[in-house]
Amino acid sequence: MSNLQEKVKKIFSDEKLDLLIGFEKGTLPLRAAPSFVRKSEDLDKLIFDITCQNNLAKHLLNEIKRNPDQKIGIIAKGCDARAIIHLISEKQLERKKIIIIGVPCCGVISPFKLKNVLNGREVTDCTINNETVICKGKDYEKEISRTDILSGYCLSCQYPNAPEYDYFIGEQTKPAPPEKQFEKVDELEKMTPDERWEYFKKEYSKCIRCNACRNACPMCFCDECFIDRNKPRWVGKGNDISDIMIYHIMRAIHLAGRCTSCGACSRACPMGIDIEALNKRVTKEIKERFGFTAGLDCEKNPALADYKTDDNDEFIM
Amino acid sequence: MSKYKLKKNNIENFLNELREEYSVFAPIESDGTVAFQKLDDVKLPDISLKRTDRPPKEIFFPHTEVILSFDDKNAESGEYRGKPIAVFGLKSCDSKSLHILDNVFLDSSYTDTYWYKRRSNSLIFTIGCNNPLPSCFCNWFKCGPFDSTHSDVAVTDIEDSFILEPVSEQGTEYLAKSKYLEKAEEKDIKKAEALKEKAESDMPQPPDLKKLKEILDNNQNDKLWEELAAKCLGCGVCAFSCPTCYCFDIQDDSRRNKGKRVRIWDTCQEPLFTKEGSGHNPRPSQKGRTLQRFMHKLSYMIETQNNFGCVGCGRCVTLCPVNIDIRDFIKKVLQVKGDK
Repeated sequence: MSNLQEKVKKIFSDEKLDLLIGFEKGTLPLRAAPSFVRKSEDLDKLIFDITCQNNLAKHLLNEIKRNPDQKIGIIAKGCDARAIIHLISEKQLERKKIIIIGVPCCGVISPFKLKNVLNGREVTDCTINNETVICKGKDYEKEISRTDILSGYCLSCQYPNAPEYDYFIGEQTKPAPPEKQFEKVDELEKMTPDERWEYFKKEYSKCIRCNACRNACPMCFCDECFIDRNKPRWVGKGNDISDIMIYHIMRAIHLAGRCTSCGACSRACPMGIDIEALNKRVTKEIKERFGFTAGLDCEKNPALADYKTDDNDEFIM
Repeated sequence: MSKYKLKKNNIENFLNELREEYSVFAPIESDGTVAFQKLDDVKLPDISLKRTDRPPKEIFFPHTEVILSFDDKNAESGEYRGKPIAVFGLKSCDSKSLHILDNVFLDSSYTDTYWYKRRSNSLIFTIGCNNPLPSCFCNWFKCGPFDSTHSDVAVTDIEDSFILEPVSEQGTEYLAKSKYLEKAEEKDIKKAEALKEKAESDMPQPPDLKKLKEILDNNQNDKLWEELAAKCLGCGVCAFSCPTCYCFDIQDDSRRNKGKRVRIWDTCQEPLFTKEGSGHNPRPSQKGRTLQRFMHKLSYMIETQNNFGCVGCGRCVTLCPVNIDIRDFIKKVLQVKGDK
């Protein structure tokens, strides 16, 4: 039994948890799957490593919606914990019903990046090392640097450890250098508006409207999303570039001051669209204008749900 | 039937010749995603002919398709009026998927004119999979890496050349008149046969699916469904990457006195899919939606067309963001003892 499994077992019984949400080994090499454990003996299947790409806060929210009376423990990377904390600040979750178990995160794999690094070849066996991942397939073996396959969000992550937790298993990890946080946005800001338009047009024209980005996002919890409104319909569901852009821009704006930069959206995207650029741009704006970073403090009001009499209103004409 | 050989350095000529008569689609990689795209003077296929990330159904059933344009005086059908379509480089699972969709769109009681106009007289070149991917499981569903049943021409990649074997009458006719083919020699045919045998034996043995439908039909309350639904995000990745999912929605887009009616891929995983005009939703939970998708593929389609609705292409297996793996699910179902 690993250290993680052993410690979680103790927490499970000490806290009398009804459910533990974590990760288990997936059916494919280098893929984990969300795991829902209701019996202590099943905790042996828990894992945590760079394959744990999902944001479990989404599943936590769904479980609470299904049955609000459960006491749930959750394995949390920095971003899972931030999403939970932010959802608590938005009164979507109750702090006392959730046991946050922090785990040290060194970033998670982007399946799209991995697929492209391997040029479409699939993995049958793998070894995860400190700096590299060795992938083996039917007729190849390739050692890949972790940084080549980690999610872009992870490479710029400022909060790899849960900012608030009930337990923490392992040693806390170091965040990326601060200048990395908005590196992608900074690059795009250097472009001319025409170049930026071309860039976004190229990226979003790949969209197949599968809504994986929205459905993977813990902050997208509306009972009725604006894109599902059809009386009247606000936005088309097809591949018209205007409809696609409206969807992505509206989603980014709905996430203002709420996005915790987990990157679950971009890792869920089957087309490898750069969703990060737009969402990070909004995050940067909120940070600069309001000095607010989502998901750090359960007690603090979200930026767009707060009011200050001494707000300098500098961007209001 | 005679077999032909197409040298790889002649592939461009061969496809250009094909383009004279057909609108030709083949796998092309752009920006990290492989999809069937229409060839033109600059677009050439990715000759490694990988499994596409996007399913081939979009050639005949586009993601967003104008089915009607109208103004205050006239209306015009958006049905396809171009050249017949040829597809080069479909895998056997994918050509089977077209057959399954034919059964849907062209069944005895109804002909979907939009599908029909693109699909009729199409010429399908199916390429054998020399190296089936670990996520491939076509052999679970009475298909195999070199199955060419639902094609016009069977193609085998023997390194320096392709071996082409006509399957249908249309395929025979076309190959007989191409300028760029030569007769395949015995040693090339042997080589192709060896590749076929190797690929077939390389694939893991499939489980026995004879009882699958019966177990599924009798166990819709099993906890397996709850487990599946707990993981599922309810997105459309599986349905939109699936070569046989065919559900669509229809929307009207109009401005002032002009407009168009479009049909757009839809998925049973979205709550809106079943939401009625009154606001009532008869399938309100993710469990119901997940159940619908799997039951449709693995049970209902056996009733409607005597085929599983899954062709084992493996796209949903690799793309699902939460690693829902239909193979794993089927194996678990087969172990259900039955509680009625």
